Amino acid sequence: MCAIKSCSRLCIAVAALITSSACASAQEASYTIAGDVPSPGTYSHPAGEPMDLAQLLEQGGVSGQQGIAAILRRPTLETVSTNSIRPDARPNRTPVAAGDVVVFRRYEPHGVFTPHAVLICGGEPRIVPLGGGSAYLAHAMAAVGLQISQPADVIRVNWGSTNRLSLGGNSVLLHGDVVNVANAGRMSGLRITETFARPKEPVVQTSVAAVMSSDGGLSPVPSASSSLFVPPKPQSATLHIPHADSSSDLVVGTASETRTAAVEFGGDAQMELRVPDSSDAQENTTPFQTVSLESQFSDPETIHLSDSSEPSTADSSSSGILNAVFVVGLLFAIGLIGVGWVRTQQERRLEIETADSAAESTAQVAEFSRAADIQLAEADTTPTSQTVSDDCPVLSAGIDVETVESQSESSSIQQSAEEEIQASHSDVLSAADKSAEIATDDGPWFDANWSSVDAERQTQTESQPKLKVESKPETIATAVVKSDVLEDLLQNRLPMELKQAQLPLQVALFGKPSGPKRLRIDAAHKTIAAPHMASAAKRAQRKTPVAAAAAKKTSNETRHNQQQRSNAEPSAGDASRFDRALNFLEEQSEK
Amino acid sequence: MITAIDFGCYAIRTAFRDPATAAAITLYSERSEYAILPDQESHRQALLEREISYGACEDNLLVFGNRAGQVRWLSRKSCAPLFTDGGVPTTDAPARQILHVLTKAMLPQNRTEGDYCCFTVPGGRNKTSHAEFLARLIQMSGFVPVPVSSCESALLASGAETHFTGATIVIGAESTEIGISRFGVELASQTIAVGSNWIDTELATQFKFQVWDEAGECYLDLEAVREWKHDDRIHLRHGTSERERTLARLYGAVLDQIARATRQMLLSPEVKSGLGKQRLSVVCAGGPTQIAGFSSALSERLVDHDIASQILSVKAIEDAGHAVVRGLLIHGELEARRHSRQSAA
Repeated sequence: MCAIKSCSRLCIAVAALITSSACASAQEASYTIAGDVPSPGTYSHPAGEPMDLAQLLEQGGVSGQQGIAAILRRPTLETVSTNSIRPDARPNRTPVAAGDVVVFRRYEPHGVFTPHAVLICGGEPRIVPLGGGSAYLAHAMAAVGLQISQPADVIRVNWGSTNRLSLGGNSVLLHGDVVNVANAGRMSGLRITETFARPKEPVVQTSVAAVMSSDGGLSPVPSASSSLFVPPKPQSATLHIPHADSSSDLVVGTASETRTAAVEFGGDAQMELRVPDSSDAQENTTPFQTVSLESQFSDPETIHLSDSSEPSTADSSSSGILNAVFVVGLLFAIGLIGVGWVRTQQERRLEIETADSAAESTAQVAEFSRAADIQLAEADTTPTSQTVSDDCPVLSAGIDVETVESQSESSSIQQSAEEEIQASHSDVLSAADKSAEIATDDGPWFDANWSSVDAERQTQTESQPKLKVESKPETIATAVVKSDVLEDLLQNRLPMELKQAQLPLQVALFGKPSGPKRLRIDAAHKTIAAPHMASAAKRAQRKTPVAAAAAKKTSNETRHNQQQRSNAEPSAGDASRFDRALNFLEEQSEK
Repeated sequence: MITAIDFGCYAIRTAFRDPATAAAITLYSERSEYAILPDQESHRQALLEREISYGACEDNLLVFGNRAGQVRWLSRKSCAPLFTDGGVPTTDAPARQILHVLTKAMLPQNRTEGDYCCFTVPGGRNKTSHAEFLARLIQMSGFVPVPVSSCESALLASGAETHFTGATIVIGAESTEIGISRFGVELASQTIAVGSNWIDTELATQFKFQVWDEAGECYLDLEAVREWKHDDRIHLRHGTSERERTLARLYGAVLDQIARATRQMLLSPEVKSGLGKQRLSVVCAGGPTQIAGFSSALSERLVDHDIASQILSVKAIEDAGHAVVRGLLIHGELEARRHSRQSAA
């Protein structure tokens, strides 16, 4: 009797506990905020009351900061809206539904917040701190007792865009990422409990857990500046379960025993569990044993035993090979990039040299012809000469003088110079013809023989005699100054001083200004007439086909009378036709 | 003294080298718009006290230049443009007179006989009637007017690195000019009658940027759109609000037209024979090119029109607003030298 009473009390207590928890869960809704916020986490709110974005940001500690907030809606974590948050603007009252995850990103990269990510497993969001701002996905999931076998769905909110990524265990999880574990399970066709199984008991120490830092955070991903680093292979789909005996249940463990059983998930849905054989007594002493099950949970005979220490040595040897392969590949890629860069530089240099030479040739032709004209015109001026440099700039070629040599010469030298110029004038003209040919003709310019053409033109230029242009020293000085001005203008070296123009204070203008364009908005009608198809008079006049045939005989007789009547008194439907005209006339009369 | 004046539909800019400050270029810039105020004694008094220049005509006070935006709240009307529909107004007599006043005030006074003044014509120099009117204004100030296209000026200002070869796009307030040049010689050019004012008008219409005057008349508030658009945080490719996304779409429509015109010019026989298979550098000037993400948005449009293989690079000039007037100065220098050489010969 006492046992029955105690059982009934126990049942009542359990029922009350379940009811209270159910009521509590039904009365409260949870919202998660993450990202660049000081207090990330999941916050509860009464289910009946509406929740908006500003309230949730306030709970997360966002105040007076500028950025964007993306609202992700479960279960698929679709982005329902991306909101711009500004301190000077009014609070954003975008409604947030129960279970939503809000990721806030600040415009300023600096701020007081702890790097973290959000893992949503079984409908429960968890904030996982990331020690150095990033961590491998496998490590992050190991921190909450999960292990990954298939790519997980990761939502990464950046500035103004939300990216949905499918990441594996080797991929790097960044601050503010949201990992949808349930979605990955759904995508793979497995249930969440199969893909990401979670042990009930305290997690058995694994190699994944060993990478966790002492403060609960995860080991950061090494930076690129550090030494060569090969990411560790995640413990793919290996879940260690405490094991007591080979013949007993799978999830049974005692504190004294350290042997573990592992469930391995392959590419398909078959699961494998290896349980240590009882005959291998000496192997039972090893701290970790990997046990696999060939999907036949009910058949303990097919269970095989393997030691976890053996694959670890194999992994270490294979990781060395992988390291070497990685280094070789990296060096090969760097070599390829270097060769490509050198080739690009060479091609660019060739292009620039080609353009330079073409521009110089064009400018030199013009310079020679102009200088010849000037020489002929000023043959009797003062004896000052200047040597025209070959590398004049493009637009100032023929105008600017870079090197000026002042020397006095006799009249005989002038005579010889004049003869020289006249002799070279014909060469210049022929060179000009050839240069124009080069400039306009596509054939030699763009085909593979362009270098030989350029070399030919260069030899011609070198073979031409240097011109001696005579002018006054004052002219030369101004030319040098002007050359600097033009170069400065071309190279944008002269600063611009913005000044206020002195406008006349008061001027008399004539005419009427047009002014800005007005937006035309028509005035509303004072009375709105009914549509003509709904008028009663039209409905009354509508006839059925039978009635219309019967009335056809008499219609001819009465047509004349109807016309007279319609002219005398217009019908009610006609009144609506001229409403606009009447309104217009009324307005005119009122004015 | 070489002088340059850029008659823009957003602002009129003049530049010259003052002998007193030869190490720098003196620049004047005045907005090409005017505000209308009712002719009241209080308004006159307020303008005189603050030394704001204005013109009086037929019961109205017209405040022009940079100060127009400061006083327009007195009448609660938008400012009226000096260049209506991208050209010299034919029906707005006060606007033509204001153009004369501004031109005379902004050009330097210490000129000598025969000084050149290079100028641009809004809507392109092919609009001969507009060019004649503006040339006459410059002549009245004692300068020799030389009309130059905006593309040519921008190329002179920014094409030293590319040997003055490539495509130049100058996006103005009312029109866009595109030109393709080779070693400083223009091979083809085209003017599109669309600019940033069209974008501003569409934005103001869609998002109800409106102001009402005391008579209840409604006007589009383009100034508010410009203030919002000049925010540095606005990016064409990373819009966070609906307004920014609309801005990106409108820019896309303009850039689409530009890319289409560029493609037509690249396919023309003059450009084909002049440039062959040479890849072009695209240089963009004008105020609307200063928005973040412009170059990448234009590159996208060029890719859409299958001319990316003929483009080497796309670049927006840093001082895009002043590049045209600086190029005009360079053109004036070259023109003066050519003239002096001819006179010497």
